[in-house]
Amino acid sequence: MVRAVALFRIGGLAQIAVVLALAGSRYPTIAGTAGLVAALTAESALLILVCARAGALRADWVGLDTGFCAAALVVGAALTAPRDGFTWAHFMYPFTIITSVGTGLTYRRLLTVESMTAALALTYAVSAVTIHHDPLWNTLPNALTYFANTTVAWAVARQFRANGRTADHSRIQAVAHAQRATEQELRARHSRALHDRALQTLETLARGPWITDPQLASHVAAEAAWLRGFVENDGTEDGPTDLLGGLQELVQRKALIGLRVDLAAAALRDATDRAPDPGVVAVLLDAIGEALTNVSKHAGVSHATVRARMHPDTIEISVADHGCGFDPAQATAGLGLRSSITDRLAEIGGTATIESAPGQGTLIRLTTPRF
Amino acid sequence: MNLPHPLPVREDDAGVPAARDGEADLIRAAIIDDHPLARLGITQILTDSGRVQVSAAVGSASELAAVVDEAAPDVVVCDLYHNGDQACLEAVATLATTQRTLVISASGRPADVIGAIRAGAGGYITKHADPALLIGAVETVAAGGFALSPQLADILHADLGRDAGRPPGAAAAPALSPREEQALSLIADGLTHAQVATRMGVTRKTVETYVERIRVKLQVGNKAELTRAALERLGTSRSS
Repeated sequence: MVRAVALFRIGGLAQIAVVLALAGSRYPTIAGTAGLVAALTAESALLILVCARAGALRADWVGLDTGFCAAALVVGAALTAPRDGFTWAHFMYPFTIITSVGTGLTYRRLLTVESMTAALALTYAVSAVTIHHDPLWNTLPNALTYFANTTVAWAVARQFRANGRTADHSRIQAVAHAQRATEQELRARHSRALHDRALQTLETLARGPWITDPQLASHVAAEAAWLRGFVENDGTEDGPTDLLGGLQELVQRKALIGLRVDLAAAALRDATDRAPDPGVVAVLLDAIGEALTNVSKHAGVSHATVRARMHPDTIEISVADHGCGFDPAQATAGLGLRSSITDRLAEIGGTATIESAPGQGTLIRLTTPRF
Repeated sequence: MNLPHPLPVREDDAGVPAARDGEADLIRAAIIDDHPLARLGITQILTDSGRVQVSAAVGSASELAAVVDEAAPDVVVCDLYHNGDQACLEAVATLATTQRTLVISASGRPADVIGAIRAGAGGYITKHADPALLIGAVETVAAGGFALSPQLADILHADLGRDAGRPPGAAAAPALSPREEQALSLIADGLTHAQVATRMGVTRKTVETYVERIRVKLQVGNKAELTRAALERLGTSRSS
């Protein structure tokens, strides 16, 4: 836009040069005319310099410039008033017509553009008629031309700005997208490296006979479980409000007390829809933790499977073990589970079913609304 | 613990050397894993079971090719990721044309795991699975069965309901019968085949039939599987 204004300025000055060359002899006071042209040139250069420095059209300077042009119109009319009715000599008119484009380009509000145009057009009309003695039929359409110029320039600038904003927005989005993709790729690469090296070492050590100290072995197992959760999330550490993160943390805690939990949660790893309510997740994690504690205490095995499934409106979690099982009909056996799991789930509108029989292991199914 | 499968009674397979004296009841397993400590860990678990003999433990499929005649494995336990981020699905596909292959990984992306099964693998298990589960899976695959671990069943079951969000070019999920899907889901819950049978009111053999049908539907039209079947037929006709 600054460049456009500069070009219009140079164009305006060039036409003055042409007029001076062709009709210079007609001007009554050649020294005054030259002074006016010099002032115009200096003012134009200053305006272009200021705007180029700012990198944008400066509204205050363009405002001052409009005032200057209006004054120059009057001075110009006085200097070039022909004695022979030669209207061509009024070079300030074409100059301001060309440079008025800058006004249209600078101001964003149409009202401002039209007001400044009106001031310029009125100054021209009055000076042309009263000083230059131009006929009204010539002056009126000439004055209206200002409005055409500035309004078209304003509309074009507006369109350019809108396009620019869209382009900027797209560019920002593209850059952010590329950055996210790079970050994700980097995280995936790091977690894959951790997975291939550190995790495998830790898990092998945790499971093998090499560590004889049971406390150290369970610590290594817990670290391995944490690392597994970390790499399975591609290196992002989510708090336990996220169901998958919470489950992985739970698996890690259980590893510390010697319970190996296999987590089957493909549905959560690929989930792209809205995350479940954090309140629901908290209650679910409590209930699953309780079910796993029961496995440790009563099932007589050191292994359980936790599976998570997502349905459109519900979350379903199962906790299975191949332990000694029990008869759910017996009040004493079922009491602990009922109070700690069933009641808790009921508070958020969930249900729990317990399938078990002596010697047949236990399958607990928890279902809650997602939100 | 109730294992999914009893110790299988092996029939003489085509291409497998006759049973060796004193080792007749041991399954011969080869391990491919680029991580030395992981090889050691898997070897330890399998050997400790007293039912499996590790006849080769190498870092890549090409290393195995050099010793495969000597090792004569009944089953190859193959790591899904070798030295990088890409699942070695081509190696699994090639391997599966001649070997019964159990895929193992520390943490497999669902799409890679499904890819490995489609490429002809006889099962998938995670490295941190219960040792009994690993041994059971090795036995199942060595016997020509489909080792459907809870994680694999869960991945397959989750994939069934995801036709809408499937990436373009990915193969469609197999159309399972309601009973097959129910069995798959119960296995994903962590139940043994016997427990699944009890809950579904069928025999354990029926559950195993469902599992085999799921495998066939997953691997239908698979080149590796067809080639393996052809090789087996060829071997059978030669030996008979």
